[in-house]
Amino acid sequence: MEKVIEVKDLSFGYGERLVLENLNFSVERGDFVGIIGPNGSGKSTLIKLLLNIVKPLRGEINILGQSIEKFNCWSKIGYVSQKANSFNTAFPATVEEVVSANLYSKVGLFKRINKEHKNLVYDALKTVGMEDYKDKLIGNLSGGQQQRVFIARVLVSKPEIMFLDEPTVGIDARTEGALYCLLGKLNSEMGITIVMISHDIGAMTVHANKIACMTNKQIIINQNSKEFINSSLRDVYGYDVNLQVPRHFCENCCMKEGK
Amino acid sequence: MFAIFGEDFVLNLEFMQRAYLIGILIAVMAPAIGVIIVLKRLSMIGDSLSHASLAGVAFGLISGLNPIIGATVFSIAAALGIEKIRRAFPKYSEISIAVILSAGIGLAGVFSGFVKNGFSLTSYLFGSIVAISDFEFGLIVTLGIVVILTVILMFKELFFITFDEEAAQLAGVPVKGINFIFMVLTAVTIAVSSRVVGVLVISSLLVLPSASAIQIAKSFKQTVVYSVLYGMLSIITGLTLSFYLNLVPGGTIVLISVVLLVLTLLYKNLVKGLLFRRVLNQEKTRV
Repeated sequence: MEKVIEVKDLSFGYGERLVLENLNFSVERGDFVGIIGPNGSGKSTLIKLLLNIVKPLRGEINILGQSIEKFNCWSKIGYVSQKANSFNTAFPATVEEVVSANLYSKVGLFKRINKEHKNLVYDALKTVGMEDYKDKLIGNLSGGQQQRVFIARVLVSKPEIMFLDEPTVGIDARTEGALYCLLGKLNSEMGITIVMISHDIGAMTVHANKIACMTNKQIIINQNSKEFINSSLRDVYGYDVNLQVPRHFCENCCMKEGK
Repeated sequence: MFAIFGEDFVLNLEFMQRAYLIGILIAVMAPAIGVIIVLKRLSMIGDSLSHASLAGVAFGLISGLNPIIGATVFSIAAALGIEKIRRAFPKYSEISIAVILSAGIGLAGVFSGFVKNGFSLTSYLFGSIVAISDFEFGLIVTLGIVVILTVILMFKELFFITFDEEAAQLAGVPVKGINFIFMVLTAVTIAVSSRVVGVLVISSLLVLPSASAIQIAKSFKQTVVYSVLYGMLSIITGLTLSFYLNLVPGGTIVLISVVLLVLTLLYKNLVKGLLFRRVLNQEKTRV
């Protein structure tokens, strides 16, 4: 399998405090990786490093076979941040305007979006089931619908890898189920590699094919299996974790429930 | 041009024709920039830059440099200063605005002590229609057109950065460059508007039309268009009233903007009330 993300001896710190130390791991094309770990274990920092938002102290990151310093195909990388949950809901922007935004660098400075771009926006909204809402103000949608729009904004540029930082925060169980269903579809049907941070370990054990546990400045990544989860959770959290496997319900879709 | 209305008709006077033309330019520039400032939650930046531009006006009056050029240079320097200081206090970005505002007031205060003709400086505080020279007219029109064209050309990028700066950066939008250009545009808008509207009220013209437009707009594009329309209505009505009633133009324009905002809020509440009543009636009929 092709390695789409490769990390070698990666270290990072804030000031004198080392957050990540000599990380080595890889993610293969088509993986759905769930990153779990306690607060402050460096999950969001790792994503920021993989997105080149922050620079490592030392080590090497390769994305789609290229060194991150030379990597310039950022349209192939999608990112749904934690901020998507806390944007200014009074911002007067329509769903279509928000999704179109991710095409702007492709369109180029001083140029306007054309019909072809509008079709791409429509297709992305259709994929997440939000095509009927394109003229609505983003702030007037529910949390789950807003999250779908932010996923559509990423999809519009046809990404190969998608990073999500706790996308299910603040949304109800049914909507959460639908969101996981959508991510599963993007992963299995469209072949998008997904790397997702979540505190919902139960849901991760259901939906991800690989689990990355982060603790003590390290990452342990393995195939999603009951044995690995059970042995890792005590190391990661320092106590026994009672795993709740959710029963997600999603209309128009068969959901994987409790492997 | 409007001979049938008599010589005293407002549009037959050359200085008023100039004032209206400049007013319309400001009505497009200020609210278009203002929408982004308001949505970035930087409403106070206008006050900060206008005080810096007052220092520039005073410096111009002392040194013999054209006051509008002085205001533009000081305003741009202040805008870049805000960006620099903001990086030094990333978690308290409003500190940078307060620092530049204080420095602007301080400099303006010190410089004003050296200005021989006090009336010249006062005319920049609340604006003046009559005092625009040919050179200033040409300068304001040129800079105004440059600002408007740049905003139109960078409209989509400005929207993306305002909505989600981090996502814009990841998507490959040159965020730093566009933010720099935007700060310069803001500074130029404030400096050139200060002649007609006045440095003490220009920040209101950035914020009030945008605040009104946000209440009723259904998209970002609509917000910008509506705020420009609100700006035009305020400036044209304000200039006309100030001419016939002998009022200070800057103050009149801003008061009209406030009235428009209050009317918009009343209209919005009225519509909301009517919609709520209709839904209640529908519910009752259903029961």
